[in-house]
Amino acid sequence: MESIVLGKTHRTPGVNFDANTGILELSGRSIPENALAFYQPLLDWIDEYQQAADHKIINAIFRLEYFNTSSSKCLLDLLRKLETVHQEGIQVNVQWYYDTRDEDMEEAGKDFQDLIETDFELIPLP
Amino acid sequence: MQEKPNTTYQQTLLDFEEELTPEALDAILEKIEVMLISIEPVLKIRKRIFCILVEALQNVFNYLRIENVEDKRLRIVTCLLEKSEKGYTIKVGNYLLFSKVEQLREQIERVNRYSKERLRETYLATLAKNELDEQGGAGLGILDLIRKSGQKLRYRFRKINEDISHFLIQITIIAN
Repeated sequence: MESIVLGKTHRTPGVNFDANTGILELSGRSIPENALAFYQPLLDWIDEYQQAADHKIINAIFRLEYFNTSSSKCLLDLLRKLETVHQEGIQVNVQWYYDTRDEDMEEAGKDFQDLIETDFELIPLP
Repeated sequence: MQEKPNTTYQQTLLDFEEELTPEALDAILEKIEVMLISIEPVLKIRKRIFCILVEALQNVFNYLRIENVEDKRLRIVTCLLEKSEKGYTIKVGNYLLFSKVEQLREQIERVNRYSKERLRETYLATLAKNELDEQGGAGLGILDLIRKSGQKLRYRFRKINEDISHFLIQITIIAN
């Protein structure tokens, strides 16, 4: 199975979904008008990853600056998929990093934390 | 795009009126972001202004796509960003079908009455249940604008003819 590595753009986040380590990282901004077109391949990748029998852990790392509401729905879909993966036996850890000066991004992390049931850590960046 | 900088109490930072194409939207957002770095030192406020502008303009953009509006005159969007001692005011205006007016008015009036807690609950409930529509919208736009700004939305509808109205939304961001 191949990893997904995408650079950051003005509209879309950097992606590093590493098939070897199970580290899934999103960083930067996510403000495309049609977020689903961007996120669908990432959702499909997690399905494929789950079916690979030798992977037993996922560390999902979010280092987002900001995102639009279209992306917020896709981020929740992604987190729910991780929740399902967790319920089916794979260890999943979610780390949500936020700038301590940015209470909106902290609040967004709390929103997602309240909506999913898996290990979800909010980590302030000084 | 026109800019009308001045140094009075109410400073207009951005003032444009043009057809909202994907290219125009990209150019507008890029220009706004560069400008905000130079005028607003507080990260939280700067990001809030940018996020609200993105959401407001993309709401219009998605509406135009969903309704398949091809008449260039009806794709004209206006956007104004002003700075005052209290903070910032954003005004975004666009044309919309008269048949959409009441539904939008009711939605804004309803959400404007919500407390901060109810706003969050409603936002999360909407986020949790809504599917993205085919254009990528999640039905969260108005909720997000009020939640991010922390202020009630002000708005105005102006009837153009039997079929078309003009919608102007005003969002205030307190910066003190």
